Amino acid sequence: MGNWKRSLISECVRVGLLLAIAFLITGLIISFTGENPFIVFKILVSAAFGSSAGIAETLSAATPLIFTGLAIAVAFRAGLFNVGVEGSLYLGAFGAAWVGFTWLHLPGWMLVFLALLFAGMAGGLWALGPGIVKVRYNVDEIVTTLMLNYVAIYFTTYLVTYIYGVPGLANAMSFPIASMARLPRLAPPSQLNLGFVFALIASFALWFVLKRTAFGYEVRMLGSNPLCVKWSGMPDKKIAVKAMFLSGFLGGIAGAVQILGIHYRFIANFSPGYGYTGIAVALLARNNPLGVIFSALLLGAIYNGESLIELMTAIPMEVPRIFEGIIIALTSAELVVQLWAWRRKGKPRESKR
Amino acid sequence: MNIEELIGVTLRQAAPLMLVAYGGLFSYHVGVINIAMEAEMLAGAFAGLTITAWTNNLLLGLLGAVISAMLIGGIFAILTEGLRAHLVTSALGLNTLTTALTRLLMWVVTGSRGAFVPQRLLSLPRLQIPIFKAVPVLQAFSGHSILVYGAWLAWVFTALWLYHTRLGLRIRAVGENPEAARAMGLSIKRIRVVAQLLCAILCGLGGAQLSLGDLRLFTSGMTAGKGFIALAAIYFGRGRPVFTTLACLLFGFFDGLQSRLQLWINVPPQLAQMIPFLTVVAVLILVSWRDVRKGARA
Repeated sequence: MGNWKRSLISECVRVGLLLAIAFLITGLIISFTGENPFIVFKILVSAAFGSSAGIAETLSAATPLIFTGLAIAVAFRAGLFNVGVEGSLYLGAFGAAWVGFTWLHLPGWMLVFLALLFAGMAGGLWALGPGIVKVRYNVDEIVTTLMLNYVAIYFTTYLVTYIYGVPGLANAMSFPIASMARLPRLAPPSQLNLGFVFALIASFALWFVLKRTAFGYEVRMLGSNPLCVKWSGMPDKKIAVKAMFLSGFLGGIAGAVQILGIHYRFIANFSPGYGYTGIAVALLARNNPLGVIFSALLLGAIYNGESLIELMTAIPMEVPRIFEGIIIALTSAELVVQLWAWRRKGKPRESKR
Repeated sequence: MNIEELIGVTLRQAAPLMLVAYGGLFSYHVGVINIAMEAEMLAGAFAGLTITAWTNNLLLGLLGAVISAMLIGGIFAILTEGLRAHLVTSALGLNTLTTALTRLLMWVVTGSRGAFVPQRLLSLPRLQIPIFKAVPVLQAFSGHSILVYGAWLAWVFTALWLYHTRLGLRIRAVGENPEAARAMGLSIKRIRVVAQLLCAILCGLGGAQLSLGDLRLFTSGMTAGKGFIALAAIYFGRGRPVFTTLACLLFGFFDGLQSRLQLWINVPPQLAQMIPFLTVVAVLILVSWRDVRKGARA
């Protein structure tokens, strides 16, 4: 049996076990609220895969998650933990909306290109700061990116409330973008749009970059053996900063795609935490860009059923979040390894830390 | 600008940060980056308020806050020590889970989805200090909820425990050099778990101060990053209790300032709300920059 086959099987076992545990705990919590968990899960599955419209909505829900998942995966690959994808997403979304409602006279394809470019730059530059202070002054990037998320959300809310906002609305939002800048919908009643295709392209592109280019090699080396990178004379700090920029760039695109494809304007607090869900997406896929597509589809399916659960049962829209939380908490746990070790030795392995 | 008001609001805003940060010191010194403090605090805030409203008993409420926080801390310890899960991801997962879970439980208990404002709620007793009340500036230190004073007691308690007891020494030994600690015959895992549970106790109390002592209501996600700010306060002080306290007071001051700024002058609220988070980032960069420069000179 080939090596990749064996690792594929063990990955399937890992993910299967993880999902089983997550469903079990979520089910217990649902039954505690007095609802039947099986009915809730049935609604979830039929909403996500029961009809072609449902599948289209699932793909649409997965679109931003693919981008945020890729954003987090590329940072992880370089040994960095960018929790700030949510912030990059907000700035990217605003950047895209700004292009869309400012340059109204440009042709459509150019508007979309510029909007994506601005979004990526805004998101990338936002992540650049934490990256630079990390390599220059060794400031923990987890804490700074986490803090800057709050700053990004408040800042963009300020922008659309006071400067670029439509006055007199309870929910702060920007002017609408030019209709030329809208991404075409692929399956009209659903919100599925060209952004999903962009997401697939981005996944393959990132896979290629990581696997086949010198930069990708440097990133992977930095993540797996930073000392080796340093001593072999590679510019480790530059690589880390570049990876951070790329991570933020992808986060910015995630926001842009939501604006250009779905909302058509910037809305304050529009993200239900795509940046954080991206952590679950990346971890489930073990930071593999192609795997990210599948884990984003899985979480997208769960989020897609969210509103239907609320509609058809009494439970508020917390079930997908609980599920997501369990997955994030458990993905890095060595469930299989530890179960095996316990059975063999009667006690867990010693911690390496 | 009224100096008494400013001192008072700083003390009130700093108290939950202090309680959580002192708890975090146990984690910090045992070598664990504890981002789950946010979740522990939120659980404490929810359980403290709900149980107090339900039983009409403050002591039970506080106990519930502590136990629920310890539950989260216990799960975190099992995940990271037993199953060797990644410290940051498992904590972030617990944060997501706890935010959703408290919202769900709030709906189960009250039928409300945004906030839980009990009609008649016992609030934490306020400590009046008779001598201070007559003096102009000192009067700002009187009349706060007991947990505000509890936070200062927690400082003394934490500093003494960490630096002057056997367990404190062991905690620091495990954090500083796990191999040496193991060679001494200590069980690293057991000490890590104990430290995380101690941390959770104080986080639960910090959450209770937020919901029971200060606002007297619970809103979904009401900790709003306070657990992270407390963590930054620890980083600011490199784990030393004195500097951690100073950082908490500083962050509390800016937190209080932003709510007052909106009342006094016409600052857009979103810009004012950014201040505490920007302060944390600026302080972290300054501290690390100083360390790097010191290292370069030596």
